[in-house]
Amino acid sequence: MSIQGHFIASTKGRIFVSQFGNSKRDVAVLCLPSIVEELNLSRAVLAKQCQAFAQHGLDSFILDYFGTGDSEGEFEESSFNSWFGDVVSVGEWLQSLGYQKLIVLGVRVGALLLGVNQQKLHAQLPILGQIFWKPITSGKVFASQLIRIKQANQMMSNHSEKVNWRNEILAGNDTEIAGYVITKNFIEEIEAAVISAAIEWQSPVNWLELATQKITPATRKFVEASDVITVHTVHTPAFWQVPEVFDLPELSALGVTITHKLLVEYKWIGE
Amino acid sequence: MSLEVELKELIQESLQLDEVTEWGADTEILGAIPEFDSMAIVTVLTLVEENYGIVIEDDEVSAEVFETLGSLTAFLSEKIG
Repeated sequence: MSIQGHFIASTKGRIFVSQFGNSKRDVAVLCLPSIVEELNLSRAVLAKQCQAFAQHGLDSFILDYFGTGDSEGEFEESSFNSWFGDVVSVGEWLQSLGYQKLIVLGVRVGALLLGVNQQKLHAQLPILGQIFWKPITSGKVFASQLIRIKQANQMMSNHSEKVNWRNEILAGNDTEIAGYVITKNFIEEIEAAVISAAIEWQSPVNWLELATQKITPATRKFVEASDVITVHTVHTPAFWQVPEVFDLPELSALGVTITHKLLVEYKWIGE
Repeated sequence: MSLEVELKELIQESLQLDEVTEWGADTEILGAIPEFDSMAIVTVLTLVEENYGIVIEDDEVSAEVFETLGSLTAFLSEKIG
C-alpha cells in the first residue's frame, strides 16, 4: 500500500497531510484528528483505520492542523477557528487531485470542528457522510480536561496554594500544560465551540461511542433529536488518553463497513 | 455491577495495570501506585465524566479523594448519585 506525505498551503502556513492508498477513485476519506496529547495517543489507531480504508480501495488522508503535529507553526500561534480553514484547504486540494466526494472522519476535537462548522463545511466541500470517533460536543469540557492536567500536577506536588489556572490563562498569562503553551485566545475559542442537540446535520452521521458499553445519556440526546445519526457502540480502550494502544481491528473494520454502506447508498459503488 | 467494580475496570483499562482486580477499598492509590500520576488522575476523572454524564469541578478534587480506592469510590458515588 502506498503511504505518502504532503505539505499543503493553508491560511497561516503549510500543513502536513498523510495519504494512505493511491487508487484515485472518486471518493476519499479526510480525517480530522484530535489535538494536543490526544492527537499523539490516537495517531497509530487512526493510521491503522486509514490503512484499512486503503486496503479496501478507499484513499484516505489525515491532516495536521496548523501548529500541531508535523505542520508548520507553533501551537500557541494556532487557533481553533482557523483550523476549519485548514480543513477547507485540504478538501480543495483533494478535489484538485480528482476526488469528487469526501467522507469526513472526526476524532474528538476533530468532530467538534466538523459540528460547529456544519453548514459552512457542506457549502464549501462535497461531503458524502461523516464519521465521529467519541465526539467532543462541548469545547468547554475539553478545555477543563486540559486545564485539569495542570491542577492534578499541582495537587500531586502538594502545593499549598491553589491556583485557578483557567483564570490565569484568561488573564493573559500563557501557561504550559503537558508541553503545550495554552493561550487566552485558545481557551476562549474552544470554550465557545459547542454542538447543540438541535443542530441540523447536513449529511449522514455515524457516531461511534467508544470506551463504554452503552450509549451515554449525553449522546442519547443527539441521537433522539436527529434522524440522520446512526450510533455504534464499540467497547474499545480510551485509546486517545491511554498509552500503548496501537491497533483496534474491530474499530477499523467498523469504519470500512460504514464507508462501504455510504458508497452503496449513494450509488458510488455497486453492492 | 457495583461502582467499585466498574471503577476498577476503568482504572485497569486506562492504566493497563493487571493487578487492579485484586484491589480492595483499602488499597492506597496516590503515592502508592507509581502509574497513578497526574495524567492518570485526569484520565480517570475524564472517563467517569464522559461515561456517566457528570461534571467534576476541579475545586472538588483533592489528594484525599485519591487516597484509596474506597475514598475515590465514595467521592464518585456521591457525584453520580
